[in-house]
Amino acid sequence: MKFHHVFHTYSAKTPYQFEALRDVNLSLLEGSITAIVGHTGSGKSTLVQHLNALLVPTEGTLEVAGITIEAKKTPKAVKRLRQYAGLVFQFPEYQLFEETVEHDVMFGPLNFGCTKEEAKKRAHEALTRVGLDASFYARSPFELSGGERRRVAIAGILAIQPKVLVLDEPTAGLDPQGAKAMMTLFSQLHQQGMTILLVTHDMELVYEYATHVVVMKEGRVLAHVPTSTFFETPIEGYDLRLPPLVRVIHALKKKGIHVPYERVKDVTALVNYLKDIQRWPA
Amino acid sequence: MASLALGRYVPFHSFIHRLDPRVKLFGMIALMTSIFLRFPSVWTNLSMYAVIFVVIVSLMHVAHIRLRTMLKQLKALWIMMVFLLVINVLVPNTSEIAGYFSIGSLRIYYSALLQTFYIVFRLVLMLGLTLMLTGTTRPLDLTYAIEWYLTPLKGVGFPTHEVAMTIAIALRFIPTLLEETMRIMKAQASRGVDFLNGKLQEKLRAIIALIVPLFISAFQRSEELANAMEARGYNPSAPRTRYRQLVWKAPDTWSLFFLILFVGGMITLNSLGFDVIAFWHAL
Amino acid sequence: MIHVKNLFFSYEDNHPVLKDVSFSIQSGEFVAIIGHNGSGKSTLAKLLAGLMEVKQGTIEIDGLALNPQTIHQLRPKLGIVFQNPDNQFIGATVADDLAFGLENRRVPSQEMPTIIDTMAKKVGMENFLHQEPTNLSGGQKQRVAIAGILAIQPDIMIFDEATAMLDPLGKQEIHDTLKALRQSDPHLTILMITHDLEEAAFADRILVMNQGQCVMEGKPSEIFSQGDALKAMSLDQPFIYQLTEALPDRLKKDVVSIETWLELIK
Repeated sequence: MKFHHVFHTYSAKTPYQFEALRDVNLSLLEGSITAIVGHTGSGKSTLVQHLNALLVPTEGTLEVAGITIEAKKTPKAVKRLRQYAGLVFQFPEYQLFEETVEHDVMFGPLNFGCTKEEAKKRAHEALTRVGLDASFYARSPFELSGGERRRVAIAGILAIQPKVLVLDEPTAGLDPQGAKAMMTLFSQLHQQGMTILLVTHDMELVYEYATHVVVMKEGRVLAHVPTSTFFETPIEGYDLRLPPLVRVIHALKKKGIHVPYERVKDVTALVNYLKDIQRWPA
Repeated sequence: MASLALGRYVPFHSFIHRLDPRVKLFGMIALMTSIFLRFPSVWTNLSMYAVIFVVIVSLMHVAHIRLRTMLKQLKALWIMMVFLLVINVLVPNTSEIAGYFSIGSLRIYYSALLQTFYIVFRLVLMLGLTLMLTGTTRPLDLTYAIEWYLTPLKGVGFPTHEVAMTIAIALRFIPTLLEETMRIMKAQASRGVDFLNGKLQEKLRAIIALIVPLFISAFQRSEELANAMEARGYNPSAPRTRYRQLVWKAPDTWSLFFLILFVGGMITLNSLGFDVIAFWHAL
Repeated sequence: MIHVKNLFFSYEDNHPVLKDVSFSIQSGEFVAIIGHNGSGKSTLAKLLAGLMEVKQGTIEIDGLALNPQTIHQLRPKLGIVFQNPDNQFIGATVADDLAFGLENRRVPSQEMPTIIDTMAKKVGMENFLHQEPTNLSGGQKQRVAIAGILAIQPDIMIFDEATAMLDPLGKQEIHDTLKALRQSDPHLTILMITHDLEEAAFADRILVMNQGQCVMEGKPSEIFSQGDALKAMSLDQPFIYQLTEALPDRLKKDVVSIETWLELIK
């Protein structure tokens, strides 16, 4: 997925004109979990909506799945793009509308040309993946809890079998355990070969799960780096709120203790590491 | 959805912007009545229409509502005019003026042309007046003006306040709901829904995929909003004070005076069977 | 000041959401109520705010039992800020929304502009009085909600997951506003329902809800040091407590911040 000098301006030539993307050049890595970070208004949402051609550039081009998207033209192969990159918006539970959970998850595959049997099979697979068993199939989505509805919505996108999963704040509003379950699911999908794009404000999520980070500011890409670099080297013009775990690791580095980033993603791992290297107080 | 939709409030400081919404509402209705007056002779009609036209267009100019822009944005109006012209022209018509001219075997009656002109003329002016009202008055102020006019109905049990509050809240939520519609459309498009093309059946599914979530969300919103209103002590049947007051000032009185004078004058001339030519001879 | 005794509640039969909940809150206290999604904390908030009727058990506020007859007397003492910033913003502009509560309480129109201005200043929104909600961020809308409630001068303010839908900046704005409020209005009793532990850590006392029951009660330091118990209830521990849990007992008490913890690592 490559962006070449992409600009996107909303409401051009009106008093409400707004340049959401400015000269974006970006090559997103297949098979990564790339976090896209930046303040509200930095262009993150606009950026990801180009990947499945919900938006097209006002200037510049981009390549997705071998298809070139040119400025101001919706590509003919738009349906292929929608299937290639599955977008899950924030609070996706608001898109549910069918009478039963099963039917709602089948909606996506049916739109992309699956037969009813195939769509059903995919729906069941997707629902199992998000942790909802067969008892949920015939229930109305509207009688489920918020967390369950969110999982149904995500299953709805998974059933389309995208190669790239784009998630906008997937853990917003979930309690800590719910958030963990959700991120574990995405980790598993990643291990099975899916590319994951995570638009988020949560630096702890970025630290724990992302392999790469794209930093956006005022419509421009400030940096595109591996996660370890992101947390070690300050990026000019970007104020990073370090998660407390990272602050501790940096402080330990100053004391001469080098904590390996890949092994230590949470406090338990940190404590175990310190015990292993005999630096833990007796 | 930040485009300048037709009819939207355009903030400005014109004289008309600053008038009390009650006067403007009255003015719009009064001036509209004058458009529909029919005078006995063709010349009288045309000259009276010219007078009304000048008055209304000048007001629009003061209010910064541009007639030309409005006409450009209303392609439907032109299509309809052509359509009307065609229909009218095909029917023999000597009601206003006798006579016709011929193009080949087609007879085009002058009356038909005249009547089409009348219809279009009235439409354009009506639109202009409406735009002048909505362009210079905040929707909420308009709601309060309507509420004020409906106050006497309170006595017969009409829920004036509740209606006004409902409209006010609906107005407040229009931009929010529009944003939500866009979001739902994008979410469903990401699931393969094509809102533009496709067979009738597909389009129907697309609409359901948009409307059902929208309605469900709207119902949830109303419940939460009702809770919030109740928690803040809202009681529609109890007396309340008002933060926004409609203040009647001197310019409002003068405007009302001139409106009554003008429209009253037109109506009087009309009922007296005023004829421009007779008047001219009498001078 | 608030006494909850043997409170039970169900939305539908055979499915109790609150089971025998009892606790007391003193005037001026800042109490956080935490619990997993579905633990009953939101239901508790709605009952305390008088939005639903207590059918079994009692809620006593300032000596008066909360029920449909007394709600009119007790309403003025209660204020509640909800989770969704949009669905509690009633007015067409910030000023109109702040005026809503005043209109309901029949405050004279002449007094309104001053009150509105004062309350807007308390939350830092005095320059936004003519803004429409579509032009405001989530954090700004929530601040307006807080100001709108302050305008009616309640004794008790309930925050029902008020920051759950905000971005980090919005959350920070609300936290700052709360801190300022505790300074300017120390008599205000604040009940914060949340699953954000950093928020709960500000409180004087924490109540832990689990599956409809109030299972733990105590100071933040007492509650947060019980990592295993919290995990079993689908709750997390604030970072500093995670760090100190693994320490040998004799060192645990000395640790008050990340810095002191770091000093223990040779």
